Amino acid sequence: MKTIRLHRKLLGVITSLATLAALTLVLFFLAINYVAIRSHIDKKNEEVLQKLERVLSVPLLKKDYVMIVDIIDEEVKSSNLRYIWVLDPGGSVIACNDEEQIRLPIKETYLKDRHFSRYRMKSGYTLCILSSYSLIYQIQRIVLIGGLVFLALLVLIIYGISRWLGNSISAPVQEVVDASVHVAGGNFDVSVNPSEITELNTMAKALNTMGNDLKELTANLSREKSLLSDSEQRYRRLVENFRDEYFFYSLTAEGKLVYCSPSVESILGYPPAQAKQKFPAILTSADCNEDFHLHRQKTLAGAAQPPWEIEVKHGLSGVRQLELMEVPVFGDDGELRSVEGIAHDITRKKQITARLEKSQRKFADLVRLMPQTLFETDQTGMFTFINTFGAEQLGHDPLLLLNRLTLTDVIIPSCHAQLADVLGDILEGKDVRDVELTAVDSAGSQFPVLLYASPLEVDGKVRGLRGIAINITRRRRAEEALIQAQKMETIGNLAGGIAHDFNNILNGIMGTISLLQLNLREGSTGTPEEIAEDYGVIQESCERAADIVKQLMVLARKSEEHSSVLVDLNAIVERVIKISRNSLHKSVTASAMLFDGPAMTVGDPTQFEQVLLNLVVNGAHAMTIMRAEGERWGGELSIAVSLHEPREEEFVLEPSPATAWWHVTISDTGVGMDDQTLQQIFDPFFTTKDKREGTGLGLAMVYHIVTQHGGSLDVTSTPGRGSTFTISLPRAEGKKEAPREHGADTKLATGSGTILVVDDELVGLNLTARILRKVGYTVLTASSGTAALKLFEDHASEIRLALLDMLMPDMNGTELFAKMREISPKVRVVFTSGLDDKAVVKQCEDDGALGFIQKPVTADSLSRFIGEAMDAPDA
Amino acid sequence: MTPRSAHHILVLSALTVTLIACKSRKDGPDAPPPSAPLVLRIHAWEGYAREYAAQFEAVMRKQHRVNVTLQVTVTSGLDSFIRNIRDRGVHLISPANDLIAPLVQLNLIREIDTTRITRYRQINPIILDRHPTVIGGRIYAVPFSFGPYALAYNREKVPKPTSYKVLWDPRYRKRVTISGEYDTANIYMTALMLGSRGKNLFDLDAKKLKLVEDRLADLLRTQVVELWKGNLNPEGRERFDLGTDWGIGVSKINREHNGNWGFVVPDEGVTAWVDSWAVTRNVDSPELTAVAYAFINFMISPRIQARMAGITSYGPVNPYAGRYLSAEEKKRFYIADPQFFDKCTLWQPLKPEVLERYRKAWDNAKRRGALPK
Repeated sequence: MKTIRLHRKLLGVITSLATLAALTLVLFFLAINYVAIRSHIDKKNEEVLQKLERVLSVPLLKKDYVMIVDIIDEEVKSSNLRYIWVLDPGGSVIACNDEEQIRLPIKETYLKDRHFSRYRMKSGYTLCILSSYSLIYQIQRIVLIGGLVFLALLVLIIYGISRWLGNSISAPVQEVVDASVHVAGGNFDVSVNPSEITELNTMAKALNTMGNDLKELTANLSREKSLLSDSEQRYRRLVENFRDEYFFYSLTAEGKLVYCSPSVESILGYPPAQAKQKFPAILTSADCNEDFHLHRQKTLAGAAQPPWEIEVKHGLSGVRQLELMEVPVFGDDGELRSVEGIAHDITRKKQITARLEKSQRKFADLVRLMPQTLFETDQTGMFTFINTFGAEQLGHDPLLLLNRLTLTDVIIPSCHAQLADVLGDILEGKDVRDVELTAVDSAGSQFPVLLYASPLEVDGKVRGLRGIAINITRRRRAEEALIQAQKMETIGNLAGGIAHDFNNILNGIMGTISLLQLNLREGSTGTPEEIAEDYGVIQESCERAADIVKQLMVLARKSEEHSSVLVDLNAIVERVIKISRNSLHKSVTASAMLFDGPAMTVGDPTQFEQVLLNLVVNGAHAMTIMRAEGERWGGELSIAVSLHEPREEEFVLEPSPATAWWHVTISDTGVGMDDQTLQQIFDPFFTTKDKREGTGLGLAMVYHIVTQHGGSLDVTSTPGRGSTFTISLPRAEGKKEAPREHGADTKLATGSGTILVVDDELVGLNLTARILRKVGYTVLTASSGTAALKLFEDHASEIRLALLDMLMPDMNGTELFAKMREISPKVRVVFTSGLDDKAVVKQCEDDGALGFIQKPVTADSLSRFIGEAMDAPDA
Repeated sequence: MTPRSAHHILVLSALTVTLIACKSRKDGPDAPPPSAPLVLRIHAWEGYAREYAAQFEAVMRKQHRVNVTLQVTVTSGLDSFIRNIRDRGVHLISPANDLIAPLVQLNLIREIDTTRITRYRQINPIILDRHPTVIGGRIYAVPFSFGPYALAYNREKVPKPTSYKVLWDPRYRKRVTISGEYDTANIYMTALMLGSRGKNLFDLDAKKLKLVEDRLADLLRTQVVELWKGNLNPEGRERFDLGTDWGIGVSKINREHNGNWGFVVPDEGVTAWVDSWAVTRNVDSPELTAVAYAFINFMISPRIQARMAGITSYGPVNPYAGRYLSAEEKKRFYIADPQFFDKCTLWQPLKPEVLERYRKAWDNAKRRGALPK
């Protein structure tokens, strides 16, 4: 005991000395800190002043207030400052870290604070700073708290030592006593710690061993009991809580139903007690009953049965289909004790299976009957499915096509880049619509298809595509036919005028010829000037007729390809006006205002003519047939060509190379259009005319042609006052087409040699022969292919050139040419025809013909053409 | 120290801590219930009110013991403001600076007593010195945000544009979107492209206006695929590659759809606007006036200003909002750029006859530009 008292006194002395030392240290650090922080604050104020001086040196409206606020905030945050104010030269606060003080006077309490500083800046602004004690207080607080913690630790250490001394003797004894009481009371869970005292230690060990043995014994008994109970509970929970589709039942060895789980009620509509009585009686049919009893007898005989199905009546309505599974349970003596069974309600499963099969049959029929190609592919485009129609379209057996061919096998190579884009979009999860491709069948025939496809996703990932390909061959043909019909409509609209023109031309020719005949009958041939004048009239009339026919043929041509040549819009407008003047109703006055100089653009002259003719006919209709009943017909139609050069201040479209645009303006004073009509006029098949007057394709085609040529179209219209269409086309550099000279060169090209002329039209044949003889050639003539062939066989060696008509009844020109080559492979041939069929001409030239001359011909044109052909090297 | 005395010390300490904790929670359950609800009807641009309504209501309930309910509707311009003040009795609106004069002339808004809005003093002097909301020496609205009507573009498809001319570039045929309702902004933008500058924008002569109309008709016919309402439509971002915006549409595409769009002031300069809060003539009681002023004061507070800038991409008028924005955001929302207002032309109120001419030109351009469909 003496030792313990001595320890306590020593501890008291040590504690007092430590406390004193700690307090001294705290005071010392507080003093040092205060001095250091004061110095730091002064230095910091100076830094702030310099930073703000830089920002505030610019004029008032150029100041970056956010930067001023940032500097103030940053300084307050990082330094020992409480407030920073910036005052403008008028003394008003314009910035402060406390935004609530903006434009307010600084409070008196701050002004009187001994840490408040004021600095006048060069820019005239004033900076005020109020330093804070917070850091000093904070450090002092830390030192103070540190000292107190140190003292508390000292107290705890002394407390711990005294506890240790007490515990080394009395605690072990008390522990042994407590353990004995627990064991006596039936609590065997004791653990006595070893003691430094030997006797106590032996006693502790004995108590621990005894407690453990007893605890183990009790635990074993309790565990077994618990296992048994758990097992019973688990089975009961399982059986009692099964719901909806299953119920459990038990039979005695004699086959009596003694248990049904509660879920039988939700399945059969009877509570368990009732179900036990009714069960065999609610089977729906004798067959079912028989099957049931057969299986039941086998089970009761101890044989394990595979699941079987029965059909029973529901307690409320309808029937239920059940699948039964029964297991015989045997005792230790091998005798059957009971039968345990599970009934599964499979009614819904059966219904779903039936519906699914029906749905599958329906979709299979739809896919089979669908007159479009339906297909699926994997990610590489390999066909994994295709309907019968699709396989037939491609000319393949479906079984040979699937997993063998890919999309690239049935799409022509020039469309493969487009196909790659489609697959790319599909892999990105996008739908693809309206993609036009060209497919090829197994026989090599090509046909256009319109593709619609969407990604085929499995588990959220794109595994391929599913698509429909629509064969649009028939639609394409119908579109082409419609466009051709529109062209013919335009020609039809002009037919009256063309007839008028032809009558005028024929009038000139017939009148002049009758005059010549009269002169001949009277024996007078007239003076050479009079004769030249008469022939001039006939020639000019014929050339005019040839021009009109040529224009009509070009306009009626089917080909959609358009040429790109330099075109003078002035010439186009002149031609259109020329055709229109006699075609339009007499009440319509047509006029043209041409550009002073060539108006050159690049494009297809025929298509430009078609555009202008369409707009002119529309304008004329707006002033005549579209006027209200009783309203007077007529008005002014004008076409103007002007140059639009954007001024410097205007924007020039880029990257178009055009620096200027031609404006072709077609104006009429007709009925005009309201806004609603204006919105629709370019829609295909939209028309305000009687259906007999228009197809509604004209303006759609006009828009199509103009935009195809890189141009644009603008329309303005006022109801009752007329409409103006302005076509903008890019200006192109180039020279105007050389005007055709009529009969300027009267000297014919002469030549020599034998020429075979073949034509089924005798007038033309004789005229050609006469011209050629006139200029020096020896001419052989034939009026059919057969006659020509015979003549050629006889004179092959002397014939230097053959002029063949393209269209003849017995054989056409190309067939004749082929047969002539069989006789003499080096035969030199030129063709002539009234038709301007460029494809046929090109084919002839490819086959070896020397050239082609369009009918009608003149002595001048024919002699020059034949002369050039005679001189030309072999084709 | 014995074990018993040590136990006593620990128990006493625990009791002391518990008592202190109990005292500090005294205010909560004993506070009086809030007052009856006051309804404040606000008609403002998108991103201006609805997003902060719950916070404002909570502040009023907690700090002022007043139950306030905000009813917020979205405006589409001057006609919408006038209709809602007259027919729906709205209390607060958010007109741009060029709309203040017509609203004052129609006697629809009240003069502002700035002494009751403590944070009015915090508004950037660069904005206040331009007097955007002052008519005849009186203040009729409190500036709230500002920004340009400038070019928006998809960085992945369009190189950074330097001129409005890019909108007419044939490479972007039917890939352009512009405002369908702020007709004057489109007129200013086209006039800037054609070379007009400064105050001339607000009174173009007939010849220049015809040129603007022609160019707008071209734009609508060949380039524009969609006209937006309110702001550039983020849902239509796949249909267009560039256009015009206030900045909020671009912000939404980038924030909500992970887009990579830019918003740029072209070399020709831009026109800019200052949106503000105005109190309407329907505010006729001292209570409503106090709540309206409290709302304005709340909306120009630094935190709300910073949040508004983040939502809309518009510039905040309170420079202290910079405390809650990164350096990049300060630059993006123009507040780190004191020269912003030198680079742009602030909208000005148009004379009624000029406004009528401008609207007619826009209508004509739309009609002409709508062809063909």
